Amino acid sequence: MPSLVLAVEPAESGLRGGVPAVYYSTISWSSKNTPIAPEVYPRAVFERLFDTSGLLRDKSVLDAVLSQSKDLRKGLGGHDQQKLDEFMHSVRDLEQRIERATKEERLEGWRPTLAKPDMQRPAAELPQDVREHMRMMLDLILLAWRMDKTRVATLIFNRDVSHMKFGFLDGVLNDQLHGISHHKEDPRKLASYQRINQFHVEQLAYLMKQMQAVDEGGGTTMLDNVILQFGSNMFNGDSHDGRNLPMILAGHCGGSISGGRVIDTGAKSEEQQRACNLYLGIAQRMGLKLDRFGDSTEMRGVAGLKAWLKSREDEFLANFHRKLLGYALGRAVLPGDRRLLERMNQDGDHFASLVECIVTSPQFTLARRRVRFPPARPFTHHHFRPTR
Amino acid sequence: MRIACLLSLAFTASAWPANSIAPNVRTFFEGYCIDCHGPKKQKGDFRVDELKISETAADAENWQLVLDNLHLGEMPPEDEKQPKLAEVEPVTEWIQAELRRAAQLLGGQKGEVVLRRLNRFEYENTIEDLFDVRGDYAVGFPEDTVSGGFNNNGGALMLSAEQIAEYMKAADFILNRAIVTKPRPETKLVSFTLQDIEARKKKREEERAKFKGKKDEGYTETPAEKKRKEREKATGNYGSPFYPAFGDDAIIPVMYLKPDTKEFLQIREPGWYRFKVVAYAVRNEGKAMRLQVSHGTDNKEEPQTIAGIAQLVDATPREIEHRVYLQPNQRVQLTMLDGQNWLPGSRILEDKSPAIAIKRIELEGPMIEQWPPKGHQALFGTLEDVSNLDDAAVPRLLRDFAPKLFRRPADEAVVAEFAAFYQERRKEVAALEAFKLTVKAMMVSPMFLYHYEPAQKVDDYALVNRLSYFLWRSMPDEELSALAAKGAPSNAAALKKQTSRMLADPRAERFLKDFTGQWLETTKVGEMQPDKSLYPEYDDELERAMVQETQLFIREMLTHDLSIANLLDSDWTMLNDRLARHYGIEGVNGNEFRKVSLDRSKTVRGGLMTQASILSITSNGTTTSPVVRGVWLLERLLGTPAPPPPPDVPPIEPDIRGASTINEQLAKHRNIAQCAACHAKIDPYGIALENFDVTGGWRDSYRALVEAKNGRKSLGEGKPVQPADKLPRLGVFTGFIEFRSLLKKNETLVFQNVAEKLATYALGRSLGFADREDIDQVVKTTRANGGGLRTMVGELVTSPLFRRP
Repeated sequence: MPSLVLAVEPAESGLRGGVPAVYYSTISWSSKNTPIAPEVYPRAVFERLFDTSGLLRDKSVLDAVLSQSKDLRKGLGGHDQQKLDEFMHSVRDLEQRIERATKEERLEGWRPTLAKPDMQRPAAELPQDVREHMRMMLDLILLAWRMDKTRVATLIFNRDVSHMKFGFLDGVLNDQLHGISHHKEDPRKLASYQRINQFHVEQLAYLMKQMQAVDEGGGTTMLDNVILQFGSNMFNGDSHDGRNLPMILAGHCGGSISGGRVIDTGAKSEEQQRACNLYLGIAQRMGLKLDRFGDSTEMRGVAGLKAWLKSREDEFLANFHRKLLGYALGRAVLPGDRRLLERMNQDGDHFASLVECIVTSPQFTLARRRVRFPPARPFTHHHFRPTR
Repeated sequence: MRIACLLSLAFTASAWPANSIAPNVRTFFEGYCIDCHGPKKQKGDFRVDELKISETAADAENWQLVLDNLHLGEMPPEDEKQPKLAEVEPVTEWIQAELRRAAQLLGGQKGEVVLRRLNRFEYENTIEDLFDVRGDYAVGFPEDTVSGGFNNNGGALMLSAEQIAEYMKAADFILNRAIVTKPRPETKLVSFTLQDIEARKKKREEERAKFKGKKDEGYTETPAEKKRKEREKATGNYGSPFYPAFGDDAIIPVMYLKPDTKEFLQIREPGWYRFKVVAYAVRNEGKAMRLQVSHGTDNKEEPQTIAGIAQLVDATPREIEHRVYLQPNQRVQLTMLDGQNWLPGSRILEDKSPAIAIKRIELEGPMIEQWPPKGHQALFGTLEDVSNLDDAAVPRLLRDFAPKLFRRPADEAVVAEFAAFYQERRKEVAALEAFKLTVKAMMVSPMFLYHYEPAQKVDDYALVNRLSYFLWRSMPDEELSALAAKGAPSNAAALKKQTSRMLADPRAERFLKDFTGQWLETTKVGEMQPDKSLYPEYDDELERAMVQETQLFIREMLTHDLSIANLLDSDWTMLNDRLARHYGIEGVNGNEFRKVSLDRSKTVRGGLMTQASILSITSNGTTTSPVVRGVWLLERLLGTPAPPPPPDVPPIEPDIRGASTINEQLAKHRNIAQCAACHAKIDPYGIALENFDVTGGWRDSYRALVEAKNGRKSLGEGKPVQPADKLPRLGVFTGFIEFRSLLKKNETLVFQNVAEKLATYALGRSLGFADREDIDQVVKTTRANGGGLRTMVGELVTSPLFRRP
């Protein structure tokens, strides 16, 4: 499964302020303009992840189609058979995908630490207690990661215009969270607001603790290998202030992030403060080849282009080496030149050393054995083929 | 073993006598061709000295090319030594004999793929006709590839696992919509007025005010809010526009206000609804006021479907009624297209601009014509309650349903296989669920997804399928299937009768739109929007009218069996007021399209070439390119496509310094030897159309933006248009009218092209040399019978070509 998109409060429908309310109630998008409505029912998440009977039924449908196609194929002529083969190949392809999705083993080297869910199948209805609901969603993420069912998950505790009440917490007003967040400096509301925020952070702490307890071998725990981002889209809910967002990053992301730091972006320029820069960094650490994301700081002017090129120095150099070599040898670069190119990459810091690399290479100093080239097309620049 | 032996003998026997090229043909080549197409030069990458007797389809295609060039007189070029007719004829005769021999020999193995899947359009139509289900289930289907100008070419229609997955999802959607598990929905009727809308709005505001009062205790206004309130006080305008009363009725005062049905009837059930509005024009002083009825969701991003645009001319109330298919959460909306724009701060009550008064708005539905609905009946017959499906009845249900879905009788073995699948699934899930899974498997089966035709033979079922997917773009109806069962379609008269019946059916509209849209590329209208500052007169209405003219033009030709020659030139066309104004034709009032006779002394219009749609798709929105227009004419109208640009030469940027008109630019182009050979064949066709601008309007000089003293640019006159040139072999022309007369000499080409385009589309494959003779026959018979378009369709479906596997 590509990702788990979860929430504790269902997505709002309809319009809010002229904008579809789903904008306010999801943080996951499958494309620039396709929001993913989050799942709130723990049972549905459980079935999608660990109970694959629906997928298996689809596979049985494909099986039936395939066996019927085989019968049909016998009665067809040669070209028709080829066309049907394309169909059958597509069906088989889809079957294999389902097979992979329903199989426990993974092709990647890493093995999940858990083979079967160690959690009870949740009840069909929504848990009535908010605490229980939040905990259950966190447990589902943990379980999905332990079983390697997915590697990306998002969870919204409370949406922007939240109707949830936190009266169960000590000293908290039993009002809707949205009302409390517009505290207007009322001390009672402020106190409640702070306590609710604390409660949210406690949930993060719970998840981190659970992850720390999962041994993933090589002396690492799950927390060492993940990256968790926690935060809100408002700095101050009262005035709808979304600047200077406080965010917590947890986990070492396989060792690529060192912890125990506080980074103050307050002093930096507006561009550098953008949250999308952070998201881009996370995505890149997850191995995604992205140049930008959302409004992450864009390439601007010649300086920006230079900086971008510089970030791709490896590719630039590799290309330069190939061009230089091709020019020197007067022929196309061939697979056999790989080793020489590697050497150029290691030794060639400067132009002179690159040239030296080339002129001392066997490619440059020795004659190539005669090879058979494909017959060249006669030199004509024009064709006059019928199109009908 | 023995059979194989005999076959190979037969092969040698027939191939031997024709194994060499006739001496007179060789002599001809050596006399006229070999200098440019031989060892010395290979113009067009073509050598006559390498031509071989047809052993493969490619050899035959080369001969076909030689034949075409000799027939058209394209070769040898005009400036070379010309052969006498008596010399050419024996050569063309020999080539024709050779091609016939090749067609017989290679006919069965031309490499044409015939097993063709339903493309998206066919899939949706089939679902609509079989299940009466409409929806957006096909948005995820990958785009169908276009080949040979059409997107139903079997060879090009690919399939992937993604698409299979989409078919699976679509089947779920379709079955959930088709099978009813709830009681028959109630048909509701709401009737309301603009005053009702106003009253609801007021009530809502009052409630909101109550709520606001409580919430906003001690609330201080922001400076912006304060400013707004002060401004409103000063101008006497409070808040948004509204529907002011007009006698007993109320009016839509500004275009900004668009009353809709959402608050009065929320659509839960997808289906047909009846919408009615009673309206009349107010303060319009004789000017027609347009009222648009459209439907869709509230989402501004999604396009609205326009059900119709009515014109109101006076104060007599008019009933405007539409049957619309509404999906859940859609609403019907009224838009006034002429009238005042609303500006914040303007006073609605004092405004006396033209408006539309609304007496009443009605919406009724879902209109249920049969219960259980069509799709449910297709699956279960008259059985309404399917919550407890009887396992024993399922094989019978499947047996009844399979022929409908597969569009031919289903083998008992196939039905048994699906019945067994049902039994297997039944072990896991409830009866209805298992049944749905079984039908899902049938809907992903190649029997449904492909136009299945038994090997080596187009049987009667395959024939009616071809006919039905050709003219209806969908499955055959009961009458056609019954005809196939009787074995009757072999009868040419019966086939022609069916063709007439089918073309008169509303489903033929799909063929008309799809075929014209792809053949003439009218689907591309609007892709290149004309520059607003150069062509301020261009608007959506004109754009829609352009497409309609061409579609209706072809429809008129089909309905009244008018000659295909009308495509080149006609003394009539289809117009409404907007388009007539664009063409400068007087006396066309009202926005409905009608056939208009063209007065030769007043207008140049007539034939496809003068239609705004065609002229607009061959422009880039700012300027016209004779090259693009020339290529379009050659490809789409005359069917003699120009060779594509050379593959290994980048587009040459000719040195056009100092050249300012398009003619001068092109002349520079044509002076480069590499380009000249082809561009001399292409450009004149476009230059002849230079008098038509990018919107299809007439011009004597180019439009230009002229900079005034204040730095602003305004429309001005540029250089005069020079529409004179010379057509290869046909002679010189000074302008479009002369050009069109010259082109009429090539009328045969248009007939042949239409036949080829129709056949390509009908058969879903590209045509080869082996089809040429049948096409020629279709053209010949059509012309002998008046040359009508419908006659040609009839000739095509009864031609051996249509029955060939």
